[in-house]
Amino acid sequence: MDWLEALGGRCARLNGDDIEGRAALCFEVADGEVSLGFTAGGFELPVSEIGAVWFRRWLYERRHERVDLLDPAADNHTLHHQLRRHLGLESRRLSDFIYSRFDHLPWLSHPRRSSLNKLDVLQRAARAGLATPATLVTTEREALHRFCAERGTVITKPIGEVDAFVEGEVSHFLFTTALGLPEIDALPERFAPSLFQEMVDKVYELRVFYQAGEFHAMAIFSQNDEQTRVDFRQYNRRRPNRNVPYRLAPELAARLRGLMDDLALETGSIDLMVARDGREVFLEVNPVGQFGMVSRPCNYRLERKVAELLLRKEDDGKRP
Amino acid sequence: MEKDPEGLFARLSPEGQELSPVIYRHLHPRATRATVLRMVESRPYRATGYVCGNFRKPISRCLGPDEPG
Repeated sequence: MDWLEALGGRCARLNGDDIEGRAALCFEVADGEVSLGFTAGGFELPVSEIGAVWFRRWLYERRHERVDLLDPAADNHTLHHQLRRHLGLESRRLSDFIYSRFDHLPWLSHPRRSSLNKLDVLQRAARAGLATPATLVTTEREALHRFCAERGTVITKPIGEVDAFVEGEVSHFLFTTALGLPEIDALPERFAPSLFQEMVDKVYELRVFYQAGEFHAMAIFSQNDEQTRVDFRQYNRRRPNRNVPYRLAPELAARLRGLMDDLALETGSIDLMVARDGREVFLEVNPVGQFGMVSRPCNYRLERKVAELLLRKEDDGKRP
Repeated sequence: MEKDPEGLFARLSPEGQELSPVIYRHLHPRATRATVLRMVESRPYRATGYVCGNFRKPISRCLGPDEPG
């Protein structure tokens, strides 16, 4: 936002929870005219003046997901679940409608493309010629046992989103976790569908911010710290990993560009690992991933590049 | 590696355990971070408030005195 202003633009921010009761929302259809307004703290979002939309993370947690909807004495979990489910659908429908009001404008990351299927992306990445980790989704201990015997230590992570379950002062995180044969032997014969991958013997990790055909990459030396070895997001804040700017090989960049085109993504944060055997292994791409963590250590000033692209989009949108 | 001494998985019902993917057996507990990291400058036409470390607090609900560090 600072760069948008510095470059002569204007911007306003609408949070997902603004429509959950924090701001006044008014949508009206009258005589074929549609009006939509948001007002918070005396300030009205100038909807009609908006020329481009940058979609980031709309809403982490809906209001009704944080509270007990029933009196605790009611103790009716099924009813509680039904109420939450319905309120969730209502909120999603409203969000979809608000997005649709800006359909005529240029977007940078659209909500429809902000949540990818990890398994689908892996398949597309392999088709684009990228190295990908051997992957298994199974419910069977025996199949996992065989996979582990063939591939060595494996890791498990969510098929969908990484999340944390907050319980008072404690958050239970779903970090990527390594499993060896003893942990696998301790599992029941059958379990819920789970994702497993070979544990890549990495030298370092790459975090790459992609935007409009350009790559801005950073190497993360997470391997030498036991805390960050399996998942660098288990940050060691006392002794942070070393992060340095990194130039992608042209062949790798071409393959990644092919994947981003295939996914119809104009921007995204890409995770890769460089293995001891030299493979550059693609892990995943997040269309609305963080880029400050790449921009700051590498002095890439990505915030400025994002602002410049948004202003270009706004100009393009105004042309007849 | 830090495992789950709070035993969230162990506290799930038998059905809950059966329906949970393997990673739920290896949850990593951390103290919930509520520390405010930096303030976003106010402008008359933008949201006002604070960016929080865990991104759980929406910007304009974090109003309050800045914390040291």
